[in-house]
Amino acid sequence: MFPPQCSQNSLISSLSIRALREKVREDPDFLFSYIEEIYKVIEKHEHQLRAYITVRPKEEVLRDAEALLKSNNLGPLAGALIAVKDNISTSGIRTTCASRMLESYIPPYDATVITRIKNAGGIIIGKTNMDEFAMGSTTENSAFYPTLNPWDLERVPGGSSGGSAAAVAACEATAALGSDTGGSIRLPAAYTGTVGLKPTYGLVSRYGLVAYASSLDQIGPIGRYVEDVAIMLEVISGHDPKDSTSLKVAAKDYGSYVVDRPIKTYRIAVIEEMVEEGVDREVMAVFNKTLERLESYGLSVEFRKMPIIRYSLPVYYIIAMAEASSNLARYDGLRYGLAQEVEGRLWTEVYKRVRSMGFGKEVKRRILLGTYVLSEGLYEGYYLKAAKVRRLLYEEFMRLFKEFDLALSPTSPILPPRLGEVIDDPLKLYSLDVNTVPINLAGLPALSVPGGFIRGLPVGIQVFGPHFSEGWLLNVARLIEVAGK
Amino acid sequence: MSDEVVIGLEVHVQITSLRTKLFCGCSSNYRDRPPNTNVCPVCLGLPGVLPVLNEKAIEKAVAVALALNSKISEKIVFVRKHYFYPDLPKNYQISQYDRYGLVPVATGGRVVIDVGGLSKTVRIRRINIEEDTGRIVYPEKTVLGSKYALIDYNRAGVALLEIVTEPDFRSPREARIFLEKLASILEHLDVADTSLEGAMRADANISIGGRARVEIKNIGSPRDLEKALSYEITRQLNIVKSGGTIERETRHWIKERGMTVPSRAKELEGEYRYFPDPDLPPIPISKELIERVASSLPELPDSRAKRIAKEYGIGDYMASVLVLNKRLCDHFEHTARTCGNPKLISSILVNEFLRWLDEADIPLSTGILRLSADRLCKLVQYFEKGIVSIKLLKEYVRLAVLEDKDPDDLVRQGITTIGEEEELERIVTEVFEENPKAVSDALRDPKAINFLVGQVMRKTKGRADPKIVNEIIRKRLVEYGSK
Amino acid sequence: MDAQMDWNKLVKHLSDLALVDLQEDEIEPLLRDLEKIIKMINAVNELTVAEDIEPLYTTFFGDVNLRDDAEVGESTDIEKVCAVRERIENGYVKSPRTL
Repeated sequence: MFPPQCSQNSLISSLSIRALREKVREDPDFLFSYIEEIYKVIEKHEHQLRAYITVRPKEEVLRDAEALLKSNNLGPLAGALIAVKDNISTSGIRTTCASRMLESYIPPYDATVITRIKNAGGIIIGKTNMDEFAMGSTTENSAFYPTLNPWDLERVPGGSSGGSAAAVAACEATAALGSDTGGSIRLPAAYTGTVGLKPTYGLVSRYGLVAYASSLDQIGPIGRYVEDVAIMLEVISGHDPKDSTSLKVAAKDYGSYVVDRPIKTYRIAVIEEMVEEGVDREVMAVFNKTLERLESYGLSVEFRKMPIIRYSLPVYYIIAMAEASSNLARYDGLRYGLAQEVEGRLWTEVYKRVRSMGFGKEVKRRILLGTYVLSEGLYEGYYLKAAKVRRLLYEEFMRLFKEFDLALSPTSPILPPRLGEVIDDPLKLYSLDVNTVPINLAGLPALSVPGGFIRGLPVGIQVFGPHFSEGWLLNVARLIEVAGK
Repeated sequence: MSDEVVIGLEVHVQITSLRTKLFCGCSSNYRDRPPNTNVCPVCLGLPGVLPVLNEKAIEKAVAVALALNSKISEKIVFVRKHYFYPDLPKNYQISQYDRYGLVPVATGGRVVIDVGGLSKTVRIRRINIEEDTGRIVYPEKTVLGSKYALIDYNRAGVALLEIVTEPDFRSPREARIFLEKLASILEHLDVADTSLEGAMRADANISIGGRARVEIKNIGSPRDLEKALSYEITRQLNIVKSGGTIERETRHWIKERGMTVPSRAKELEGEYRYFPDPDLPPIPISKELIERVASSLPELPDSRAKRIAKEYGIGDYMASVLVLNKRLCDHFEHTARTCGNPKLISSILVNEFLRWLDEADIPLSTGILRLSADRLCKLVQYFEKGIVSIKLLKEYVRLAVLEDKDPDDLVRQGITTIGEEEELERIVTEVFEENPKAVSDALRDPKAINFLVGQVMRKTKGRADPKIVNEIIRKRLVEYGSK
Repeated sequence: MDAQMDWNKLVKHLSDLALVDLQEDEIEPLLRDLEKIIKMINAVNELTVAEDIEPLYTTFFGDVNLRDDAEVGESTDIEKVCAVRERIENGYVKSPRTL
């Protein structure tokens, strides 16, 4: 099921990566009509949706397509128009992080994932809107404008990769890249009815991802189909010598897991704390139905308690804000980003001015709090303590996955909020991520797949598992996807 | 209150033997390159970049730790040290830390130095691996005269070792000898060429008589270290003498003015907000690596001193001074092997050569070019043949070091010791005729002959051998006395 | 934490450390939010954690990538990075006064 933006004109705009590739291989000129079609959708809906910060001129993209066809590099992504979250470095294309600070910054280098997408025959179509520096869960924290939810223009698309998810949902791109620090791929995927995957920490290179919280950040794909996400993951994963935390594992054929039957009799866990208080009744109904469907495949579902998971939010915010305060120290306006007159002025004064003008409210809040939890005398009570609790949480997950293969939860406890509904209360805002942040703290892979609809609004199901279980996650996601059809 | 001086050092050394920077593939040789032409996204700290450690840096750090008898940690743990400054691209420095269960690459250790014949053990507190900053220059040459500053990031990210001592020094001299010894160890290990501008920088902590501790930054050489500390001691004692108190502060050594000045007040100093760098998880240091490095350690200054003392028969003190500089010691060994007379050569190098270098602040490398092995050998030969006396020999060394004079030219100009007794007899006759009073004094009091010797030396412009002159005068006086 | 804590002073100190100034109209809501968030994160203090628990700073458990000591590529063009011409003078990056 796709939102109205997609299927108005034809079925072309909602083609899957594989279908597009097959068509292009059969008839290369099809790529040009595909590009025209996608740009038609953009022209028609982007002014409302505002999924992008930068859309590349159609002529440039057509030229790239021509070069691609000439090179005959019709790899797995042949002709796919990939929307890229605006915190992933693209050589020669503005990379703003949705911040005034980087409004005019044009990187001189490509992130490793961008190089890989290009090598696989993909074409970058544009850079998508997001919460500033990926700090937020609704895309309302963009310094430029909020992105709207294609299913209901009064609601948020989730965040922080809201632009990527909205662009994919509304057929303004074939697929997209997002980044996920505490749920920033899965939450928008859930709210836009798309599939979004956060890989095992270290599976996808972070080189070129503008850091928010380095020990939690991962780049991942967002697609309309589970299969698209599998293909994208295969392209972007694998060892990268430019990232010290890139795992030396061979690329997997993730597509082979996307089959309509369980390839293993999965033992599935549901962590009780993730479905208790705070989870919307309607969301729970969709979630329970999903469990029933999986059981109908002969898979077992068991409930387990994991009390420590209640500490995930505070632990996550301590760690994320601390790392953010450090990662964002480099924005001083000297070499790139917001420029300031320097002559005759003292450096501290200029730095303060640049950083005060360049950063938005939420970013400042996290920088200050991150500075707070790292400061002399407080470090042990906050950062060190959080890192210890993180260990306990991690060990609990390891125990869980000795007994179970996978776990399920609602991705978000609630349906997509209306614009302005949660943004003014930080605790309300942070609680949207209550089920997604524990995954990042443990470095686990997780995805969100649409489980059903409530009054026309998508509900996302989170599937997660032990490290490197992406194949299984995709398999189960496919089962959920098939059932929803 | 006693005025005991307590000094500790923090030494920063660039690992100049590495080809590339610590975390990126830019050259570690940034010297003499146009500004900002030795940079990449990583060392410029562009959004999205990540550090990847230069593997060779681990070996170099391990070698230094072994040479300083330090305890090597099981793993390398990097932390971020936060402070804002225009020469720091990320506004944090990737460094190491020793609290909260985090560890530097090595802790403990000791270096034995020779202070005027007495040996003294200096304790090492820790060794850190960290990255260097960019360089700030000023368009109008001075900080205060410039409306803005200019930054060159070519140096940013170059690998540094920070070596911190315990407060074990009791005089500027000791601190200097330690720094020389440390430099020599690093040279012998082929870790760093400390003679390169900025390759070795020291910060010193000094407190006198238990008063407040003052930190002096920006010291560029062992010679400057001694000067800066001596200046600081005088400054502090003067304040105390006039009834003032010493404040805990950070001061800068201004080499050109030979003084320390108060550093800009960094109100937030010490709030570095260290935490482990999530981009660089701990890297184990394997036993195999340590063993491999240990088994290929070259000869270090202490063992070299023992060897050369024995091999060349030059005495422990001479040997201990020579090994304080690897190139000096290489120069000594090379010259001694080529032309023999190691005792004379070591004495020339230690007592004359070093003194002039120090006095005129001439770099050792320049000094060695000027007093080359070739020239040194010729000097030894001239001395052995009696063409120059020991006194003139010393003068030759001075002229070679300070004015790049070739001994051959000096000999050609006739600046040689007057060996011909006839000529000396003639000059003595002249002196006797010109100074009859002195002659009669000398006849009464043998001590007064020194005046006459001095007159002869003056007439010969020092070219006479004072021993021979002395003999001639005594002989002549005896003749006079019998008349 | 000290209930009597002076929030204004804390925010001033933090903004000096992080070199982030707050506009007049930002301070009031920020103070309100900070108090809430700090209360939320203080929840970790409820939990007693055994002394010997190793803190978990990263979930990367593979071999850390290292680099050969070999020069790579050409220098990045500083003018391209800085983009704004006024930022550069004779190849140097212009910075405000340091004193």
